[in-house]
Amino acid sequence: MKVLRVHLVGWTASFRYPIFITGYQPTLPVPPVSTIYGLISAAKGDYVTPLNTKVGYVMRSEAKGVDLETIYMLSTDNSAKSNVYKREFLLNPDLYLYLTDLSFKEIFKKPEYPLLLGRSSDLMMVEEVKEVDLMQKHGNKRVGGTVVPFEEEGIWGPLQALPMYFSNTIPREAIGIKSYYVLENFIEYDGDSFWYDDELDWGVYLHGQENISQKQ
Amino acid sequence: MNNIFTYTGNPFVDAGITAMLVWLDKENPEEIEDYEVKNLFNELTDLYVQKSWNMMMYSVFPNSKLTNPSVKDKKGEYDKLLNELLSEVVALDSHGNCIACGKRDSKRYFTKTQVPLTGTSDFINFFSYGNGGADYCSACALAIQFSPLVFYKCGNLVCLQSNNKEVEKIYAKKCKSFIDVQKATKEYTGCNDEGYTNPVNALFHLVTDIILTYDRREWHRENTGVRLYHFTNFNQPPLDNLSIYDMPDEIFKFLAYALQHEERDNWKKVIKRGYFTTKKANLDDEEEYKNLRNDVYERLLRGQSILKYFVDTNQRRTLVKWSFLEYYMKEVRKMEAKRLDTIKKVADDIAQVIKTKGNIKRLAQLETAKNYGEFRNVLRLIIKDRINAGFEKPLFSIDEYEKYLFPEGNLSWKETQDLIVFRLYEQLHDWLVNNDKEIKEDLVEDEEEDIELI
Repeated sequence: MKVLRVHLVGWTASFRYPIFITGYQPTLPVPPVSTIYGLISAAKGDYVTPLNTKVGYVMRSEAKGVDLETIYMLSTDNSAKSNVYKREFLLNPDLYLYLTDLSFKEIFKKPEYPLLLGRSSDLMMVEEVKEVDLMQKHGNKRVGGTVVPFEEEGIWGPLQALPMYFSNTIPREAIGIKSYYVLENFIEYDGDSFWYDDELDWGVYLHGQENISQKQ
Repeated sequence: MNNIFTYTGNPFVDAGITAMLVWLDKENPEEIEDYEVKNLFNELTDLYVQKSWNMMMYSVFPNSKLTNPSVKDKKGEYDKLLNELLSEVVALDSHGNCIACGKRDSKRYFTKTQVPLTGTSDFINFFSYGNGGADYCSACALAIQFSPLVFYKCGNLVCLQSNNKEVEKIYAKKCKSFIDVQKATKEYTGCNDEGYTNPVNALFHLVTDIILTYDRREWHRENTGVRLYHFTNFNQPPLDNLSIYDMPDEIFKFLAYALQHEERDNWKKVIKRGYFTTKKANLDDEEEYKNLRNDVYERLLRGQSILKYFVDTNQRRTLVKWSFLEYYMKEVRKMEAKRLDTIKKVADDIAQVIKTKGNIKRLAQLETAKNYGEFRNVLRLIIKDRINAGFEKPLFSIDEYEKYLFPEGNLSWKETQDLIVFRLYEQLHDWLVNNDKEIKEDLVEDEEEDIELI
């Protein structure tokens, strides 16, 4: 299958666990699918969802660090207080995106908005945009650096409930929330749910339309 | 009504669901009926108002009906909340905005008062669209109310999560037994507390318990990761109120192998050597050392080698057999079998030449080589020894040297050295013991020769 492969690199990245609002903010080791659709939307300058393109990704980073930050807490009575908390972040993120819609090629060569991987400080740069062939490879392949739905057989790792994308309505609504395996490291997978990138020697899980239940 | 609950990936919701499954003796979350949940309310409220449990609730549900001093009838008020949540529960749908299950919409917003680590309405800019809390559906919020049943005390509290739901159930059954004893004796002590304050040690202890309690030998057939959320939800939490500890599948399998292996007592000795001991610590009393930091555990979780703990260099002996080490190297360190076999073969040949020539100095040189160049030079001397002794076969081929002994040259030499020394200790053990006196004399002579040369 011909897909578009976009290679992005950055200095930092961070992906908040949706369930934690507390003194310590850990980061997920890889982005949720919703972050990826947000990044693609920024590149296009328009709202992009799984209905527009399927997406796969593999992200690695070199290390984790913890930053001490001042935060401003807005209260329901419109008052604001400053506070300090610890935020974990990832160093030197390296992200390979796979899009089934090849028309995004020009979009990533000239993105509409800054490309961010996490927060506004987590700027990413496009290294390479390339059309590649993903293959079906039976038998063992290494997979990792991504999230995979809990129902997939033969995958294991820490679990987390994560959204697939957000609505563009006000208020924003998380759509397609479900349990995902969060694969920080590569594991050996023997199944056919992943495509295979021969050049980079890893499996690619494509998230897309059939992975979500659409609101009618 | 059933089909209310499903596993979500949210640790607190899933812990609560697992607790309900164990208390109701059911297999799958979807089988739990609403009336069965209601039947558990009395037991839950009875337990949570007991003094020791109620104290714990300050770190789980602060400012709640259970902990707010202005609430006089804590049991009644908390029961009311549970019933309210239950009345709002609907069956699982195909979609929804609940941040746990994603299969139902939230009917109200939840804060840290009902859901641990969720923040308060003083944080509205951290919630979606500036709402006054997090979007949980009432079923998931209700499940969370059951999660303290399966928490573990370790200084702060621990919530255990695993992709292997059997593991979660085995652990939850232990928690239930612990609570059953409290109910039977009317001596309430709060959630399971075995005196651990070090979360890494607690993780290994809990996993060991799971592996041994559930006496089965099939762990290698499954892929099991275990995660601990070590947290406190206290009203004024410290900055470090949350830590996450992951035990990956290969470590879980290795532990299962070690604990069900004939060498499990030797494995325990290896663990014991990993403690950062103080002069005061008595290593014969587990209570005295179980909370000391353990380098073996920490290295396993960090993905670093524990090879050095398998040998006692002072005594020149190994603590485990090669077969045990082989499993560790293949399954945990992911070392290629061919590389391991080559190292073993080379080490066996070196042992043979050391014994034949009675040259203990070579062993000392292999042990003390401090860099790649030095180590290679000792191998060169051993090759010369073999030629002088009339051995026909070379110690290794150029192919074996490049591919298997030092595949990454300078980066992998240390691991090769450690493995060769391990195998030499194993192979030469009897010879070293039987020739102890002569060996010491030889070493003294060698040292004198070295001094004269200088």
